[in-house]
Amino acid sequence: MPDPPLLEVRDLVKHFPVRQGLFGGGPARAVRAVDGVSFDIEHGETVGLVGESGCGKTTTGRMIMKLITPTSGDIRFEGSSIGNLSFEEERAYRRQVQMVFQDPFSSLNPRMTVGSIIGYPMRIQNAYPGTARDARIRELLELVGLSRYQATWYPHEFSGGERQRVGIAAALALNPKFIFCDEPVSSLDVSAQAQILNLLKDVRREFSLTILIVTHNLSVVEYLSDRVVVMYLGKIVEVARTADLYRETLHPYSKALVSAIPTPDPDVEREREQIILRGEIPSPLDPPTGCRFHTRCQSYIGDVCRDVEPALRQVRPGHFTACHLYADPGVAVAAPGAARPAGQLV
Amino acid sequence: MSVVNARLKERATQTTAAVAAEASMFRRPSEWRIFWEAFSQDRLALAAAALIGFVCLAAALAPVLSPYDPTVGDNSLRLAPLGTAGHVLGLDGQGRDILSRLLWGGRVSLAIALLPVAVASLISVFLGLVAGFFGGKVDMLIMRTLDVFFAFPAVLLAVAIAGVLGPGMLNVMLSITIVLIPYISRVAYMATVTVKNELFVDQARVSGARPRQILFHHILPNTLSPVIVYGSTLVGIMIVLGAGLSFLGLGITPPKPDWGIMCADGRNFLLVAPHVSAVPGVMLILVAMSFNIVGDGLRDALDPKLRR
Amino acid sequence: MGEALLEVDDLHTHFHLKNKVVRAVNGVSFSVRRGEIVGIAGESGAGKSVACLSILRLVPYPGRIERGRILLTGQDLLRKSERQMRELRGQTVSMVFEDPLNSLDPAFRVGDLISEALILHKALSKREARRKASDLLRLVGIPDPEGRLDNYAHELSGGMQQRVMIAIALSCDPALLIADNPTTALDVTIQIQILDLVKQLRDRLGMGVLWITHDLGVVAKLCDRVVIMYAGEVMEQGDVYGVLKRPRHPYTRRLIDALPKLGRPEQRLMPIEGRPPDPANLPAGCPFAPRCYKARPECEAHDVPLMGAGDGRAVRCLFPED
Repeated sequence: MPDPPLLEVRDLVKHFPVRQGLFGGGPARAVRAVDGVSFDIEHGETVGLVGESGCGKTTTGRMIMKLITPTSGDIRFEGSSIGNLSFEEERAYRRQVQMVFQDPFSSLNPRMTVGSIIGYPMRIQNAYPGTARDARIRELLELVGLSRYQATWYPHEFSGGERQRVGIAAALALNPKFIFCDEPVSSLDVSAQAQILNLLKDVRREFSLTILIVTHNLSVVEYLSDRVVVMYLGKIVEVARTADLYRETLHPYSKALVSAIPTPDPDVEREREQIILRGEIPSPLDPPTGCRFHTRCQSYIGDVCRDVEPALRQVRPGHFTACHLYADPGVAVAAPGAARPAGQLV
Repeated sequence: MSVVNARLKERATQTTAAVAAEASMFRRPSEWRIFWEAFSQDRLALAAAALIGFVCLAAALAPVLSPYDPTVGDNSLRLAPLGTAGHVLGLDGQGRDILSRLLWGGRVSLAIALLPVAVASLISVFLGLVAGFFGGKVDMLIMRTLDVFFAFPAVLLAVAIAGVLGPGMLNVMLSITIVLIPYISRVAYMATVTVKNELFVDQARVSGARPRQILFHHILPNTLSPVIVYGSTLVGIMIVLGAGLSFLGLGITPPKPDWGIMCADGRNFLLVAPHVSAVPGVMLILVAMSFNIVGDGLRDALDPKLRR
Repeated sequence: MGEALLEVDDLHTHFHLKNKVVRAVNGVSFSVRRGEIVGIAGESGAGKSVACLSILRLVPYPGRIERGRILLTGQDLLRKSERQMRELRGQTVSMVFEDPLNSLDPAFRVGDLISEALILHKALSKREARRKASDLLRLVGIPDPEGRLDNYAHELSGGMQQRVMIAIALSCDPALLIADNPTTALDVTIQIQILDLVKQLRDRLGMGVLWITHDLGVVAKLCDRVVIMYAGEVMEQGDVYGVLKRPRHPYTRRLIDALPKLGRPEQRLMPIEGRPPDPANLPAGCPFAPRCYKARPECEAHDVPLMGAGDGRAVRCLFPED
């Protein structure tokens, strides 16, 4: 019996209710941010969660971090569910699972020194008491490429890229097993972006981290991830190993997404298929029926796309997609894990 | 074993002297010193703060400094102008020394402004924090109740409450405190809601911080400075409001002086002896403006981004 | 390509603050021809936006255009009066900004926003302007244009708002369209729609386009020529294919090396060391020299001139790459 994956997400759903009218009259509507998402993350792998506005990737990550409670569904860490934990159990969970945030300007308390910020998780968890904590703070600063003497500086004295390093140092303070990176480089300029991506790669190797990275930038995902999960309007549309996704993109939406990523190589630009989708991204308040992508899909088959929601199926080894184009009589797999043989249910 | 933990083991064998020596590199001036350096850069604010300090000190030492009894008048010298021998600021309509009344009155006028602001701030920070942090029904209950008070113009409300409670120093302070709570609460509430949505609060939650810890470590410090800045401006306004209430006869009872009553006393003599009202009036303006200026200076000095 | 529409020659724009002078643009020269899309690329703080605001003479106080010539269809814009500039803005040259929600007046409906320029510049009646506004919305690819005229800006999605901005910019058939990072806030699949739209409009209307971006990928997708800016100066310019495939300036090369390339994830990213210079404190000589791996003493000694390198390319470097 193999080890369970580090993280298992099963049928995760999050609906945000929207209040209608002054006193709540009118039909109950909800933003269906995440609508039935399942996937696994194995020890040591880096999974990229990609998609555009309203796809639910950030909400999914925040549910894993227990910043939001799911409407339904389950998340299991090392085999045990993280819903309904006792106070001590939740503390233990948080020691293992940390986060790097998107906005380096908002993720550091401007009134705390950088050293206090990095030491804060340790303080809350009573980890590394006494002088060991100071020593660890300085070690962490140097680990991320800053100077130990900058521990007394305030966040506004650093550049955006440097602040993001502080955020990474704080995330590593408790020696976690898993780190969730929410758009870690979107607010940074090109050079800082490169530095942070390299740092993440180095730190991952050094600490054998498991990483979930959420981003809209497919080049970033390609650089860091082993596997990619593509989401659209609250649903997973494709899961594959990174190389497989780019080599043979299956789902029409993923194809459009890949073709839309600007890359500074004019040859690549000329050679690749330019898919320009029609229309806007529908609102998660009112997603389309059937396959949610059918309103913009250029490979629309017929009524089945409008009426029936496609299930996530394994089309190639380790490569899953939810699309009627690939409606082979293959077995619908419950959750696309990394190394599960084709057709094996969890 | 991770690299960091391995290095930590090395570190443990270093001598304590070496560790202490390195620790001294990290010494950073205390918060007060940093604040003072920032605040003193603003010359105007510094001057205003000095003036306030001087006035408060003089008022506090009124029993010592006051040359005459402020309630006893010498009718032969009534309405004596500025610079009269022995009475630098002249005398009022009942022959009482204006300087003495100014000093003794200052205690009242300043107390009427400072104490209610302080007490209201304490209550408001609590209300704003609770409403902003917990949101939902608690938020609605607290903020909508305060909104009712907002429906009344502040001055009118103060007059109404003071009218109901009757004159007397305690009643004046009570009415001003009640009037202030909605305003300061709103400032505290807005600050709380803003901070609550910042990512570093999420970071604290992800580290395992309990709501209480988040409130004290993150939200309160970031909420205090807007409240302090707003409060100092309010003191200036309340000095004038308190004086206004006294002017209308809703304040303290005579013969105890305060600057408002002094202005009221002089209103019958504006043409012949304007200094009777003008002196306390100028005092009110100067002190109120000074608090405003100090408020601005505080705002700049308390913002960590503007330091260094 | 048509004749030269815009010629910027040796533009210097500085901001005079209380105790320092921020030299945002220092001797920038480039041109845009009719029917050509020119990209201005560089990192934040390079002076791209200030340069384009200078063209429209919309640089906010305390900014001042110190020196230079800006020729639009042959007329020197720096010699025009404010009234003459108002005539030109919106009619001959118009601009699209980065954040449409901030640039579209929330108090007005979309139809009114578009009609405003038409009524002002072309003296159309309200009814004619409304009809033209509907045509414009159709031109920029907004479905059900008649219906959209009565929406407010905030009722539309980001992509639609940006299309509305483009419609407003195009309403008086300008010869030159300047766009400042209009797609950075948009999702990629929407961004590509906008880029495609701009290309189509260029083909149909023959306008010249000046596109500011920090994304070299967008430059590769959209532009014919590109101007690379750093610290207020032009480091390199030329046709997009040449500049991106065979960059001659070390900065351009380093910029490209720092980007993750689609299809080549194993290639380690090479960030550029150091930070961009403080525009209030620019060093002498080449502004990139402190961070350049090829820098020699000559580079920091005196200003480096922009030198032509054949077939429309120019490089400001003493030791360009080959």
